[in-house]
Amino acid sequence: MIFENVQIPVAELPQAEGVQWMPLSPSYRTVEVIATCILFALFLLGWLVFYFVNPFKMPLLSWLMLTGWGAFFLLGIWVALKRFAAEGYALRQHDILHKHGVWWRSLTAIPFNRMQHCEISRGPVESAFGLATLRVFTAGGSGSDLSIGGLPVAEAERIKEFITGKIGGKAPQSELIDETEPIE
Amino acid sequence: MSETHPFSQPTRQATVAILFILGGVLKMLVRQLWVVVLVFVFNKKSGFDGYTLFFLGLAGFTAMISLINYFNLYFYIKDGELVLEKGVFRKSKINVPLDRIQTVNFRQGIVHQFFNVVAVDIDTAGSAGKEFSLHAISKPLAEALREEVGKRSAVRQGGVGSSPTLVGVGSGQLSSTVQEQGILSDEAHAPNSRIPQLIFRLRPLDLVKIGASQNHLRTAGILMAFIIGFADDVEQALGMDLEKKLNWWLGTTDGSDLFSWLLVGVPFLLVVSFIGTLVRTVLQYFDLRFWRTERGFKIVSGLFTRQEVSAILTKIQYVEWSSSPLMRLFKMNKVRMPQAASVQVTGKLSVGLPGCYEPQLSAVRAAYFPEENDQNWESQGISKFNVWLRFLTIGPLPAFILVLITRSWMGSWSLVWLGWLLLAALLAWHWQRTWHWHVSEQGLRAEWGVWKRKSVLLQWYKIQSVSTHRGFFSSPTGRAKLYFYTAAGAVHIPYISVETAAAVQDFVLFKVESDAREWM
Repeated sequence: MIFENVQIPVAELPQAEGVQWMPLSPSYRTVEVIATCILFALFLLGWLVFYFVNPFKMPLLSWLMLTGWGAFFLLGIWVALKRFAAEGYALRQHDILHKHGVWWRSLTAIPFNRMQHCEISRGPVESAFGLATLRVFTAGGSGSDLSIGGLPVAEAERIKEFITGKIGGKAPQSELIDETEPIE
Repeated sequence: MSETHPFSQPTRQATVAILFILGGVLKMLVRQLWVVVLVFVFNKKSGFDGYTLFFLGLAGFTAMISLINYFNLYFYIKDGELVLEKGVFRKSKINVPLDRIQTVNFRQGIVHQFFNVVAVDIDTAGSAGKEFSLHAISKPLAEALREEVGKRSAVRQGGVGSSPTLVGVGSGQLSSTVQEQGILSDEAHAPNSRIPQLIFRLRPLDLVKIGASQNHLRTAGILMAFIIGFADDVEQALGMDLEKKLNWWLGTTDGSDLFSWLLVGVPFLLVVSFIGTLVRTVLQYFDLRFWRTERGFKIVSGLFTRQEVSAILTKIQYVEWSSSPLMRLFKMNKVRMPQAASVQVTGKLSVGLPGCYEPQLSAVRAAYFPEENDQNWESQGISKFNVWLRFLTIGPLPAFILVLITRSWMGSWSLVWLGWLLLAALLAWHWQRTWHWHVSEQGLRAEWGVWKRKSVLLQWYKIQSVSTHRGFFSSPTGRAKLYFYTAAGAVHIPYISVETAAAVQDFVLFKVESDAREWM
């Protein structure tokens, strides 16, 4: 066999940054806001307990804390809205791309030939809005895994089918999930 | 397909496994209740008191749990799956397809050797909770299990073909993938064609060098935390004032003479940590032998418990080596070869040498990446922005904490710790200058570090996913970090320009997607 070592035109490689990003379902924005509200409602509950128990006998501290809560709540809502705008995914011929994050923006790419399996999960709030989260798993750890929330169920199913087809001849690792771990 | 092996019927572990289960339960109980044990030992009054009753009850409970665990654990092979059933109240069943099993490791401590049994650890990559251990099964049975798993593994691997990185290994020999994961007497079982070649053996002097160059400060820290915690618990448990006793032993007055404490305590702690690290090193790495097998490497070491770990070339995801100043003085390097494994056992499967010389390191590098020296490497540094980040990480917070801690007894002299800021700035600047990464057609090499110099070698086709991260502060100025995730952890490059990060990401994706080699 003749050994070939063809030069690769690096500038002509497909660019991950240049893809057309698929947005998530607009309902996901509401889901994100609701999730933030639930989280801050829990904090507020904590504050109420603190206020009525009043361990330090310092009412000013309680009101300062409430002001802080209010400020962070507004910031949380703003981040939730921005997070929705910042998130997107793209399916290419050989990989899936996912961008997310407001403060720290990440762009992750997982080639299909390195995936082990993928699955769809739905939380109660997501279910109420007809949304689902698609999770893609690679071998060896969670660091390289990918999770795309806010997809309409039908779309998530379609992507899952597509990816499973791409993983192809390899038996999906999900076979390993047996009766000890029933999937809801 | 007919099942003719001894595992078609549910099989229990060897009876001696009860001992190991008992040991495990006892260890867990002692860890939780050791203060009570201490009180019992020190405050034991003659006669049959409440404590005795408590411990008798505990012993009975432990024995019962162990027996129930033993009698309710079965394993068998059915329909190409290794099945483990266990539990009484909460029954669980783990099914692992044989062709998904990545490693079958055997352990044999002194007690195992006495009863001629081995402990078996089975791992599958990428499926958390799908690995399990058997405390003790007879050696012939363990070998039969390994053979059975090896057969199925061969079916899968044989179809795929061997990796081009393996030199001189035909697909026919791939049947040993799982078998070679090791048994202590592997050489006796290995066919003549696979006799491993010894490339390095730790001499006693090397062992001392390795022991001396370990991180004694870390040992001292652990020791210190342990002593403080221990002293506190003992004082509470026994109602004893340890400080008073120590003062009496040292001949110092109560609590006032901090200098005497430091004068005696610090050297004592350092000597104890040094001896402790040395003893641990000798126990763990005594007579370490490093073999090159046809499929990778094998390391056998240990004084009382001989441990054997194998690194299979195809499973090694990257090679990492590091050296402390003392190690550099001895011209030694510590080598790590992380292998593909599931989450729980990642640590266990990071095969490595605690210290070796340049030729052994070269052998490892050449085996993992045979074309390394033929590559055209393009070198890069990292952004100066990292100096600031590094400084902020290591500078202000430690200085502030030190000032705060020492303020009470050093007074305004405690501000001297602010000098750390200057040192931190210098260290951060130097650290940034030491960071170099080199890209070639087939892989990445990087080195960095001021005191501890670290290096990593990674082949592109081992990568499973690539991420670029732009931090909050770095976004406007266009810098990004790069993460290369493999089946055995990530390799990362600190902030570089966004354009470079994006170009490398695209290039790596192209390389991974166009490479058909099995990466683990």
